[in-house]
Amino acid sequence: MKRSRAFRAIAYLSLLLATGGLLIPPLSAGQQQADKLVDGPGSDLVKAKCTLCHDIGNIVRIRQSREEWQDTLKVMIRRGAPITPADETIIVEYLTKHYGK
Amino acid sequence: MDSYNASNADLEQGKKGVVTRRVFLKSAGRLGALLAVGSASLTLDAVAQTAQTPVSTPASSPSATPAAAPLPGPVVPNAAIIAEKDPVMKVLTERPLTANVTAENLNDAVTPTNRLFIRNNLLTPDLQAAGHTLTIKGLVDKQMTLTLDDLQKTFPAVTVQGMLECAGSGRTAFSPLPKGTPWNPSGGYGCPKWTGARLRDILKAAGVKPAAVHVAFFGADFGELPTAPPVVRSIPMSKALEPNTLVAWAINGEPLPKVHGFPLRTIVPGWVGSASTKWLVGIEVLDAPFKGTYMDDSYRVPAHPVAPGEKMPKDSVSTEAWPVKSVITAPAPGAKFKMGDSIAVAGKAWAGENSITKVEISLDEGVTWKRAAMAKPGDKYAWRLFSHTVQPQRQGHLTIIARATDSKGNVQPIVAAWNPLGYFWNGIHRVGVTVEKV
Repeated sequence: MKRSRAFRAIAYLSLLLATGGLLIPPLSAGQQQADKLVDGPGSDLVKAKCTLCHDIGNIVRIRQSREEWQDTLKVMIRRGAPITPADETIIVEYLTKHYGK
Repeated sequence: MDSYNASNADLEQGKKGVVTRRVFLKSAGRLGALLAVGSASLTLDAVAQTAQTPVSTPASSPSATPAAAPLPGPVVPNAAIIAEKDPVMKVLTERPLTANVTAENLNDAVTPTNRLFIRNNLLTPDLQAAGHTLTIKGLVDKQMTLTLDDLQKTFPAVTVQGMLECAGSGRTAFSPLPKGTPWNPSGGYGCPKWTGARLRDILKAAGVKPAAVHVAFFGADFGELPTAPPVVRSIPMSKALEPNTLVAWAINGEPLPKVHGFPLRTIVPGWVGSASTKWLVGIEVLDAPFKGTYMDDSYRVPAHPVAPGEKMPKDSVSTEAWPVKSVITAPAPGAKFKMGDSIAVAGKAWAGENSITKVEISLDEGVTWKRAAMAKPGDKYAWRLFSHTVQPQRQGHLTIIARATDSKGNVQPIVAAWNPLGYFWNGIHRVGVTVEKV
């Protein structure tokens, strides 16, 4: 146990150095696939704004109606998300189209 | 924002004295950026990348993401946090950091610190004990600012074993899947031993005014964005005065690890984990529940049941104590046995404000039940250990299920009541094993 922990610590440290301090442990191929946004108008904006605080997986694993995505965006704006009214329209449109129900 | 003699980062700057948390966050920014370059590269890199987008944007176009804002203080990187945890711990999300172990890894009577789940809302602040203070204010006769040393010398230290469980524990068992941390059905829970001062002793020393209704807790954590509001939760006075509600500085006899709230946190055992504020810097006594997005937008359930998939109704209530629940911690799912073997079933049961009166085991999907043996009850909010020996009568797949009953007669349901934010999953836990022919 002790040894494996030390090994993990060294592995993380190497990873840290190799990635110039980018502290994301490697994901499995399956996870990477699941955590990718569908390409389309708005996907870059969702990536730029939402991943400031959230993993993509938190978004792509759920399905919500337009109204629910709108409510989600309102809460995120209350929590400081840098989303303008124009962003909001694009993001809700994108999420409803690709992650709607 | 309310003023607190906020944190060590404040002292490092040589800016002693009471500052508003918002002012503190802003003023500490530059120093924070210097301290954080090593530890928060993820943040800065991510923001730097997105900051490439053009700055001038017409009203109909998407806006640029703000340029890299310096963090208000140093943060502990996720990798350093996970390196201290048991290798069986799985990271569920990196932003915010959430991680847990599955039920079969929680077979210990007292949850080891390195297996306790992690649920952050924001980043993990890298606080120091020296200079850390806790301010008690609001509807009190005497506002107080205490150092860690003051707290430990002034108030009797108590140790209690108590449940800590995220409100969304077990969320992925709900169908349809609600948004939020994807806790597996084994969930995010644990039952370590906590040491600290009773919150009621601290409140008594400050002198609570008669109008007091709720007590709010403020942590020193901060988000990636300077605009992110702090995570503030408040609890009713009755729970604040309950003798097991603590301002804790130790877990299992050791100082709290940074990710679990070092140097100080509240422990509100048996209630949703969000009540147990980490990195505690402020306590405010209020005449009403705290108003804020973490009280009004999260940690709420419908006042009356809704159909699966419906949105949150206007009539909703704040989440408080966990309902009756049990999990099987042995055997592990997929374990193999031989015909004639005895299978030792073990597990834990808990019930928020109530106590456990019965745990039953079924090997036929609930057609028949046998009573499990229970260990003597421990501390009021500690889980109750149960055990049962199973002698399989036939070969093949065997599903073991357990259900608990509490002192109010509540029985653990087959499926928990669906709710839009996916809280309080307490459905019957199932473990499948294989019995092989000899």
